[in-house]
Amino acid sequence: MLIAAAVCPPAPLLLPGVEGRQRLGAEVSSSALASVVALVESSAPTVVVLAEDEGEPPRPDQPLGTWRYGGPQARPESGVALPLAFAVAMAMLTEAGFTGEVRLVPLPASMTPEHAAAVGRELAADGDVAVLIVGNASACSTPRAPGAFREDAEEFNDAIVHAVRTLDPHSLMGVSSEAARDQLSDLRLPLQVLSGALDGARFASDIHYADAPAGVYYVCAAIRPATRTMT
Amino acid sequence: MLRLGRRTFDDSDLLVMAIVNRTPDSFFDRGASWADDAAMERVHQVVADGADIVDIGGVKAGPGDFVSVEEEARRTIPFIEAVRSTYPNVVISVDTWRHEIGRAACQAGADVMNDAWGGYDPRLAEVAAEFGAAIVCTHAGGVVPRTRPHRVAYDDVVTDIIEVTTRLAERAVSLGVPRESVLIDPGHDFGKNTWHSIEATRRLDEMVATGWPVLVSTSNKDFIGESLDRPIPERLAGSLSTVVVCAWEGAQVFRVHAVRETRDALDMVAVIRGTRPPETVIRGIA
Repeated sequence: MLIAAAVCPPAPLLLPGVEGRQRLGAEVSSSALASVVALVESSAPTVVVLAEDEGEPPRPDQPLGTWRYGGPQARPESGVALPLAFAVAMAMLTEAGFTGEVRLVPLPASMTPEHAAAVGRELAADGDVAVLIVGNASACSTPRAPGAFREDAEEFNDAIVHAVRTLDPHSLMGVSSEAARDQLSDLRLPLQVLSGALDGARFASDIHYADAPAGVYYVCAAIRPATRTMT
Repeated sequence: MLRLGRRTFDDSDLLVMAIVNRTPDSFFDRGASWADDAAMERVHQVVADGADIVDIGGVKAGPGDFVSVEEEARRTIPFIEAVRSTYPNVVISVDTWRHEIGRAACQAGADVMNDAWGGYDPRLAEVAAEFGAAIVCTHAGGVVPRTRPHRVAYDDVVTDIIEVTTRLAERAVSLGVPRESVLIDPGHDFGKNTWHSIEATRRLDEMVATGWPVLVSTSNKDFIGESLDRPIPERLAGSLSTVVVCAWEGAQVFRVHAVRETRDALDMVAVIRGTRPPETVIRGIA
């Protein structure tokens, strides 16, 4: 059964030591951490991390690989670094004090919405789990954005925020793969897995952050059963 | 010895490559040399200020309006012809990734293909070989031209830079570009975050140790702006600092906006290194 969920972005600036002295991402970081702390406080024994990625599931004990982004972590003599989204998830879960089981689930871009929802239903049927979604909305949100600016970024971001805020199945399932690709967004599949995991249950969302401070639109949110008091 | 088209230079020479943008929208000068007269005036000024090479580009590096081959040629080729006519001995470089532009530029009198996008069009090196031109082999992280880096990651950025640039350099030589006419460039900011560009600067001596002459293009770039929290118009001191550090580590060619200040900085490096005597020495010896 789904116990709780959270959303945070796969930004390298959330990895320890990668930001500069001024910590321009401090608000994003604190908001992402608040979302993950809420997830941990749900007392779910298992956290399933969902992120768009190809390949086999990585292991949670792989190095974060902050050196790959200029961070201070020393490069080990052996071992493969976690893909970025899973590295961010592990960094957040560690900082939030989670000590339970972590399962890292890569979602290949070729996955259909229906398949993603089925994955979500299977997850929710496999004992008590919390789901940590790692992805961003449009990376084309401002003129200085890494993906250059797109006029339709705002509409795309609004649709993502609406889907996360309302948890409406049609909104979660309706994120277009073409639009997500154009916007350099990697939230489509995790949200569609979430839709399947919710499976009609009443949950509520508390959005801690929704903005694009460096051209990439971040959403940080905590998702809990609607019957519980939101903090 | 470094051979750039019609000119040769000693290994100890520190060369200034002056940026001359034939664009309406480049990040630093914002179209200051877009008009023909302004562009030629810029050339007059940079030559007077001590530029060894004039680097002429017709497409801004960052995202922006699409520029066709025809439009890029219209912006650059007649201008290259005009500069060659005015300055028969100045080294002319063309900043392009397109072989069509490289070919036309060579026919117009260019000496150097400044391939800032890392061999995106592999035929550009073939053009350099055909015309006996020099070529700059740049590390751009494998990205598509005119895109910004997005969450780029390297197990070891300097190792990647050296592998990519030396592979491009060897390929150029295999195609027929004279070995003494091939340079390598770490590609600051291109396919890199600020930490990556800083590390590439700090460890530039590893590139120099490959034996290929090294060109650096750091002028006013974002990694300087982010390092110092300075907007684009306030990055001269940071830019000159990178020039001095890179020169001390062994770089030979410096692509810059501020030519006179860079010339002074490099001459001072050469004096300290002992490869250039002071202009005057009278203090304390009269």
